[in-house]
Amino acid sequence: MKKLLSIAILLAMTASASALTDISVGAFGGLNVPLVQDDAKSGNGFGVKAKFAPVPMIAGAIFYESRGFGDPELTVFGQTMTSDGGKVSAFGAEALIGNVGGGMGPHFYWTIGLCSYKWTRDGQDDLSKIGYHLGPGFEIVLAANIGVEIRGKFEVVPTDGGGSRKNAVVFIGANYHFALPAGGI
Amino acid sequence: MNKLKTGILAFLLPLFITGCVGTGTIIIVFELAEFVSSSSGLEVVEVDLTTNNDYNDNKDRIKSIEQVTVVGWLVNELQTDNQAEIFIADVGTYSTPAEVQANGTPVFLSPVISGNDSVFIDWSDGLSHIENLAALKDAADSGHFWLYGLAADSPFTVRFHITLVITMTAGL
Repeated sequence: MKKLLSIAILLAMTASASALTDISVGAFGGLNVPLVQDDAKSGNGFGVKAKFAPVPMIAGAIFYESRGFGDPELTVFGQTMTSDGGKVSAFGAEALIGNVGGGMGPHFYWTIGLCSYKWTRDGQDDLSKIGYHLGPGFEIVLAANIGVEIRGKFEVVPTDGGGSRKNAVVFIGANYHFALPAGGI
Repeated sequence: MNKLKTGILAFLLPLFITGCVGTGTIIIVFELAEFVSSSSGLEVVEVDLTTNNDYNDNKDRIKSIEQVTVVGWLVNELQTDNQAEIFIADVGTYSTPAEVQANGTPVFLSPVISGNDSVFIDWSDGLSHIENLAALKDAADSGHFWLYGLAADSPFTVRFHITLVITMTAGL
Protein backbone atom coordinates (compact mmCIF):
# COMPACT_ATOMS: atom_id res chain seq x y z
CA MET A 1 0.00 0.00 0.00
CA LYS A 2 2.84 2.35 0.96
CA LYS A 3 4.67 1.56 -2.28
CA LEU A 4 1.51 2.27 -4.28
CA LEU A 5 1.04 5.58 -2.49
CA SER A 6 4.67 6.56 -3.12
CA ILE A 7 4.34 5.77 -6.82
CA ALA A 8 1.11 7.74 -7.04
CA ILE A 9 2.71 10.78 -5.38
CA LEU A 10 5.76 10.51 -7.63
CA LEU A 11 3.60 10.31 -10.73
CA ALA A 12 1.54 13.28 -9.60
CA MET A 13 4.70 15.31 -8.95
CA THR A 14 6.17 14.35 -12.28
CA ALA A 15 2.97 15.27 -14.07
CA SER A 16 2.84 18.60 -12.24
CA ALA A 17 6.47 19.41 -12.90
CA SER A 18 6.07 18.73 -16.58
CA ALA A 19 3.30 21.29 -16.81
CA LEU A 20 4.60 23.98 -14.45
CA THR A 21 3.50 27.38 -15.66
CA ASP A 22 4.88 29.56 -12.85
CA ILE A 23 7.19 29.48 -9.88
CA SER A 24 7.56 32.49 -7.65
CA VAL A 25 8.91 33.48 -4.28
CA GLY A 26 7.90 36.52 -2.34
CA ALA A 27 7.95 38.53 0.83
CA PHE A 28 5.13 40.52 2.31
CA GLY A 29 4.02 42.55 5.30
CA GLY A 30 0.83 44.05 6.58
CA LEU A 31 -1.91 44.14 9.17
CA ASN A 32 -3.12 41.47 11.57
CA VAL A 33 -6.57 42.33 12.93
CA PRO A 34 -8.27 40.24 15.64
CA LEU A 35 -12.01 39.85 15.15
CA VAL A 36 -14.33 39.84 18.18
CA GLN A 37 -11.45 39.39 20.61
CA ASP A 38 -11.36 41.77 23.55
CA ASP A 39 -7.99 40.43 24.64
CA ALA A 40 -6.05 41.39 21.53
CA LYS A 41 -5.62 44.47 19.38
CA SER A 42 -4.46 44.99 15.85
CA GLY A 43 -0.83 44.41 15.09
CA ASN A 44 1.37 43.85 12.10
CA GLY A 45 3.35 41.06 10.56
CA PHE A 46 5.48 39.85 7.73
CA GLY A 47 6.18 36.64 5.93
CA VAL A 48 7.67 34.78 3.03
CA LYS A 49 6.15 32.33 0.58
CA ALA A 50 6.86 30.17 -2.41
CA LYS A 51 4.26 29.41 -5.08
CA PHE A 52 4.10 26.66 -7.66
CA ALA A 53 1.49 26.71 -10.42
CA PRO A 54 1.24 23.39 -12.27
CA VAL A 55 -1.65 24.68 -14.37
CA PRO A 56 -2.78 28.24 -15.14
CA MET A 57 -5.82 28.14 -12.87
CA ILE A 58 -4.54 26.31 -9.80
CA ALA A 59 -1.42 26.80 -7.71
CA GLY A 60 -0.05 25.65 -4.41
CA ALA A 61 1.96 27.72 -1.98
CA ILE A 62 3.77 27.30 1.27
CA PHE A 63 4.31 30.21 3.59
CA TYR A 64 5.70 31.35 6.89
CA GLU A 65 4.30 34.35 8.74
CA SER A 66 5.44 36.11 11.89
CA ARG A 67 2.72 38.36 13.25
CA GLY A 68 2.02 40.33 16.36
CA PHE A 69 -1.05 41.55 18.17
CA GLY A 70 -1.25 44.89 19.91
CA ASP A 71 -1.54 44.93 23.69
CA PRO A 72 -5.17 44.96 24.85
CA GLU A 73 -6.16 47.62 27.37
CA LEU A 74 -8.32 47.39 30.44
CA THR A 75 -9.42 50.09 32.86
CA VAL A 76 -9.87 48.97 36.45
CA PHE A 77 -10.18 51.27 39.47
CA GLY A 78 -9.61 54.19 37.13
CA GLN A 79 -6.27 52.85 35.99
CA THR A 80 -5.71 51.80 32.40
CA MET A 81 -3.45 48.80 32.11
CA THR A 82 -2.35 46.45 29.36
CA SER A 83 -1.61 42.80 28.87
CA ASP A 84 0.73 41.23 26.34
CA GLY A 85 -0.84 40.91 22.90
CA GLY A 86 1.69 38.30 21.97
CA LYS A 87 3.27 36.95 18.81
CA VAL A 88 1.95 34.50 16.27
CA SER A 89 3.95 32.22 14.04
CA ALA A 90 2.11 30.49 11.24
CA PHE A 91 3.60 27.94 8.89
CA GLY A 92 1.23 26.57 6.32
CA ALA A 93 0.15 25.65 2.85
CA GLU A 94 -2.60 26.89 0.62
CA ALA A 95 -4.24 26.38 -2.71
CA LEU A 96 -4.70 29.32 -5.06
CA ILE A 97 -7.57 29.23 -7.50
CA GLY A 98 -8.01 31.72 -10.31
CA ASN A 99 -5.57 33.43 -12.61
CA VAL A 100 -2.38 32.10 -11.04
CA GLY A 101 -0.37 30.89 -14.01
CA GLY A 102 2.07 33.78 -14.07
CA GLY A 103 2.84 36.12 -16.93
CA MET A 104 2.70 39.88 -17.12
CA GLY A 105 -0.44 41.75 -16.15
CA PRO A 106 -3.11 41.54 -13.50
CA HIS A 107 -4.02 38.30 -11.75
CA PHE A 108 -6.98 37.79 -9.45
CA TYR A 109 -7.37 34.65 -7.36
CA TRP A 110 -8.75 33.09 -4.18
CA THR A 111 -6.74 31.24 -1.59
CA ILE A 112 -7.85 28.51 0.76
CA GLY A 113 -5.46 26.89 3.19
CA LEU A 114 -4.37 25.81 6.60
CA CYS A 115 -1.45 26.43 8.89
CA SER A 116 0.22 25.44 12.09
CA TYR A 117 -0.72 28.43 14.25
CA LYS A 118 1.17 29.22 17.44
CA TRP A 119 0.24 32.22 19.60
CA THR A 120 2.66 33.03 22.42
CA ARG A 121 1.85 35.55 25.17
CA ASP A 122 3.70 36.48 28.34
CA GLY A 123 2.26 34.74 31.39
CA GLN A 124 -0.23 32.67 29.44
CA ASP A 125 -0.28 29.23 27.92
CA ASP A 126 0.62 29.07 24.24
CA LEU A 127 -2.19 28.44 21.78
CA SER A 128 -0.98 25.86 19.25
CA LYS A 129 -3.67 24.78 16.82
CA ILE A 130 -4.40 24.23 13.16
CA GLY A 131 -5.79 27.38 11.58
CA TYR A 132 -7.86 27.65 8.41
CA HIS A 133 -8.07 30.59 6.07
CA LEU A 134 -9.80 31.86 2.99
CA GLY A 135 -9.41 35.07 1.06
CA PRO A 136 -8.85 36.95 -2.18
CA GLY A 137 -5.61 38.10 -3.72
CA PHE A 138 -4.59 40.40 -6.53
CA GLU A 139 -1.20 40.64 -8.19
CA ILE A 140 0.19 42.71 -11.02
CA VAL A 141 3.26 41.18 -12.62
CA LEU A 142 5.57 43.74 -14.17
CA ALA A 143 8.11 43.43 -16.94
CA ALA A 144 11.08 42.42 -14.82
CA ASN A 145 9.31 39.32 -13.46
CA ILE A 146 8.46 41.26 -10.34
CA GLY A 147 4.90 41.13 -9.10
CA VAL A 148 3.23 43.49 -6.67
CA GLU A 149 0.56 41.75 -4.70
CA ILE A 150 -2.16 42.55 -2.17
CA ARG A 151 -4.02 39.78 -0.43
CA GLY A 152 -6.42 39.37 2.41
CA LYS A 153 -7.59 36.42 4.38
CA PHE A 154 -10.15 35.52 6.96
CA GLU A 155 -8.55 33.14 9.42
CA VAL A 156 -10.27 30.82 11.88
CA VAL A 157 -8.34 28.98 14.59
CA PRO A 158 -10.60 26.55 16.45
CA THR A 159 -9.95 26.45 20.20
CA ASP A 160 -10.85 24.05 22.98
CA GLY A 161 -14.48 24.04 24.00
CA GLY A 162 -15.91 24.69 20.54
CA GLY A 163 -14.86 28.31 20.18
CA SER A 164 -12.36 29.89 17.87
CA ARG A 165 -10.03 32.81 17.34
CA LYS A 166 -10.67 34.77 14.18
CA ASN A 167 -8.41 37.23 12.43
CA ALA A 168 -8.50 39.36 9.32
CA VAL A 169 -5.11 39.64 7.71
CA VAL A 170 -4.12 42.01 4.91
CA PHE A 171 -0.70 41.77 3.31
CA ILE A 172 1.08 43.74 0.61
CA GLY A 173 4.16 42.21 -0.92
CA ALA A 174 6.41 41.63 -3.85
CA ASN A 175 7.08 38.39 -5.69
CA TYR A 176 9.82 37.33 -8.03
CA HIS A 177 8.61 35.08 -10.85
CA PHE A 178 11.21 32.78 -12.29
CA ALA A 179 11.09 33.07 -16.03
CA LEU A 180 9.60 29.92 -17.55
CA PRO A 181 9.47 29.10 -21.22
CA ALA A 182 6.12 29.75 -22.87
CA GLY A 183 3.82 26.82 -22.25
CA GLY A 184 5.60 25.77 -19.07
CA ILE A 185 8.55 23.51 -18.41
CA MET B 1 -17.12 29.42 -10.92
CA ASN B 2 -19.79 27.15 -9.46
CA LYS B 3 -17.10 24.69 -8.44
CA LEU B 4 -15.26 27.50 -6.71
CA LYS B 5 -18.37 28.49 -4.77
CA THR B 6 -18.99 24.87 -3.85
CA GLY B 7 -15.42 24.57 -2.63
CA ILE B 8 -15.72 27.70 -0.50
CA LEU B 9 -18.98 26.46 0.99
CA ALA B 10 -17.45 23.07 1.69
CA PHE B 11 -14.66 24.85 3.56
CA LEU B 12 -16.89 27.14 5.60
CA LEU B 13 -19.81 24.86 6.31
CA PRO B 14 -18.08 22.54 8.81
CA LEU B 15 -16.80 25.56 10.71
CA PHE B 16 -20.28 27.07 10.94
CA ILE B 17 -21.78 23.71 11.86
CA THR B 18 -19.40 23.29 14.77
CA GLY B 19 -20.36 26.79 15.85
CA CYS B 20 -16.82 27.92 16.25
CA VAL B 21 -17.05 30.80 13.79
CA GLY B 22 -19.92 32.37 15.70
CA THR B 23 -17.95 32.95 18.88
CA GLY B 24 -16.09 35.84 20.40
CA THR B 25 -13.62 36.40 23.21
CA ILE B 26 -14.87 38.82 25.84
CA ILE B 27 -13.51 40.19 29.08
CA ILE B 28 -15.63 40.30 32.23
CA VAL B 29 -14.58 42.67 35.00
CA PHE B 30 -16.07 41.57 38.33
CA GLU B 31 -15.29 44.00 41.13
CA LEU B 32 -15.46 42.67 44.68
CA ALA B 33 -16.49 44.82 47.60
CA GLU B 34 -13.43 45.87 49.58
CA PHE B 35 -12.81 43.65 52.60
CA VAL B 36 -10.28 43.12 55.40
CA SER B 37 -9.27 39.63 56.38
CA SER B 38 -7.10 38.68 59.35
CA SER B 39 -5.88 35.55 61.03
CA SER B 40 -8.31 36.21 63.87
CA GLY B 41 -11.20 37.40 61.69
CA LEU B 42 -11.17 35.53 58.42
CA GLU B 43 -13.24 37.14 55.71
CA VAL B 44 -15.05 35.18 53.02
CA VAL B 45 -16.70 36.69 49.96
CA GLU B 46 -19.44 35.05 47.94
CA VAL B 47 -18.71 35.39 44.24
CA ASP B 48 -21.90 35.19 42.20
CA LEU B 49 -20.91 36.06 38.67
CA THR B 50 -24.54 36.08 37.55
CA THR B 51 -24.84 39.47 39.25
CA ASN B 52 -22.56 40.81 36.52
CA ASN B 53 -24.56 41.84 33.46
CA ASP B 54 -21.83 40.91 30.97
CA TYR B 55 -21.45 37.46 32.48
CA ASN B 56 -25.19 36.97 32.77
CA ASP B 57 -25.72 37.90 29.13
CA ASN B 58 -23.26 35.20 28.04
CA LYS B 59 -23.46 32.48 30.70
CA ASP B 60 -25.55 30.15 28.56
CA ARG B 61 -23.20 30.51 25.61
CA ILE B 62 -19.83 30.04 27.33
CA LYS B 63 -17.53 27.86 25.26
CA SER B 64 -14.47 28.13 27.46
CA ILE B 65 -12.87 30.23 30.17
CA GLU B 66 -9.58 31.42 28.71
CA GLN B 67 -8.05 33.23 31.64
CA VAL B 68 -8.86 34.46 35.12
CA THR B 69 -6.70 36.88 37.01
CA VAL B 70 -6.74 39.20 40.00
CA VAL B 71 -6.22 42.95 39.68
CA GLY B 72 -6.24 45.56 42.40
CA TRP B 73 -4.87 46.79 45.71
CA LEU B 74 -3.54 44.63 48.53
CA VAL B 75 -2.69 46.39 51.78
CA ASN B 76 -0.61 44.76 54.51
CA GLU B 77 -1.95 46.33 57.69
CA LEU B 78 0.60 44.75 60.03
CA GLN B 79 4.23 45.78 60.53
CA THR B 80 5.79 42.54 59.29
CA ASP B 81 6.28 41.69 55.62
CA ASN B 82 3.79 39.20 54.21
CA GLN B 83 2.23 37.84 51.04
CA ALA B 84 -1.50 38.00 50.45
CA GLU B 85 -3.16 34.78 49.38
CA ILE B 86 -6.53 34.00 47.88
CA PHE B 87 -8.24 30.64 48.22
CA ILE B 88 -11.47 29.51 46.61
CA ALA B 89 -13.94 26.89 47.81
CA ASP B 90 -17.40 25.56 47.02
CA VAL B 91 -18.70 26.56 50.43
CA GLY B 92 -18.45 29.68 52.55
CA THR B 93 -18.48 28.02 55.95
CA TYR B 94 -14.80 27.83 56.78
CA SER B 95 -13.93 30.15 59.63
CA THR B 96 -10.21 29.65 60.22
CA PRO B 97 -7.16 29.82 57.95
CA ALA B 98 -6.39 26.18 58.79
CA GLU B 99 -9.80 25.06 57.55
CA VAL B 100 -9.42 27.01 54.33
CA GLN B 101 -5.91 25.70 53.73
CA ALA B 102 -7.10 22.14 54.34
CA ASN B 103 -10.23 22.29 52.17
CA GLY B 104 -9.88 25.17 49.74
CA THR B 105 -7.76 25.72 46.64
CA PRO B 106 -5.06 28.41 46.56
CA VAL B 107 -5.40 30.48 43.41
CA PHE B 108 -3.33 33.59 44.01
CA LEU B 109 -0.15 34.50 45.89
CA SER B 110 0.96 38.12 45.85
CA PRO B 111 4.53 39.39 45.84
CA VAL B 112 5.93 40.28 49.25
CA ILE B 113 4.19 43.31 50.71
CA SER B 114 6.25 45.30 53.17
CA GLY B 115 4.79 46.00 56.60
CA ASN B 116 2.17 48.77 56.57
CA ASP B 117 2.52 49.02 52.82
CA SER B 118 0.52 48.10 49.77
CA VAL B 119 0.96 46.79 46.25
CA PHE B 120 -1.10 47.27 43.13
CA ILE B 121 -1.43 44.20 40.98
CA ASP B 122 -2.13 45.12 37.39
CA TRP B 123 -3.49 42.92 34.63
CA SER B 124 -0.21 41.56 33.35
CA ASP B 125 1.26 41.19 36.87
CA GLY B 126 -1.79 39.28 38.05
CA LEU B 127 -1.29 36.52 35.53
CA SER B 128 2.10 35.65 36.96
CA HIS B 129 0.71 35.28 40.50
CA ILE B 130 -2.15 32.94 39.64
CA GLU B 131 -1.98 29.36 40.93
CA ASN B 132 -4.17 26.37 40.06
CA LEU B 133 -5.58 28.14 37.04
CA ALA B 134 -7.64 25.09 36.02
CA ALA B 135 -9.56 25.20 39.31
CA LEU B 136 -10.07 28.93 38.97
CA LYS B 137 -11.37 28.48 35.42
CA ASP B 138 -13.78 25.78 36.60
CA ALA B 139 -15.02 28.06 39.36
CA ALA B 140 -15.57 30.90 36.90
CA ASP B 141 -17.35 28.54 34.55
CA SER B 142 -19.71 27.48 37.35
CA GLY B 143 -20.44 31.16 38.03
CA HIS B 144 -20.58 30.74 41.80
CA PHE B 145 -17.90 30.14 44.41
CA TRP B 146 -16.49 31.46 47.67
CA LEU B 147 -13.31 33.48 47.94
CA TYR B 148 -11.18 33.63 51.10
CA GLY B 149 -8.52 36.22 51.87
CA LEU B 150 -5.46 34.83 53.63
CA ALA B 151 -1.74 35.46 53.82
CA ALA B 152 1.35 33.30 53.64
CA ASP B 153 2.37 34.01 57.24
CA SER B 154 0.31 34.33 60.37
CA PRO B 155 -0.67 36.55 62.08
CA PHE B 156 -1.91 38.73 59.23
CA THR B 157 -4.29 41.52 58.47
CA VAL B 158 -4.71 42.28 54.78
CA ARG B 159 -7.10 44.66 53.04
CA PHE B 160 -8.26 43.36 49.67
CA HIS B 161 -9.59 45.81 47.09
CA ILE B 162 -9.62 43.60 44.05
CA THR B 163 -11.32 42.77 40.80
CA LEU B 164 -11.52 39.45 39.01
CA VAL B 165 -10.76 39.77 35.31
CA ILE B 166 -12.23 36.85 33.40
CA THR B 167 -11.49 36.26 29.73
CA MET B 168 -13.87 33.85 28.08
CA THR B 169 -15.02 32.63 24.70
CA ALA B 170 -18.75 32.61 24.18
CA GLY B 171 -21.20 32.18 21.36
CA LEU B 172 -22.33 35.38 19.73
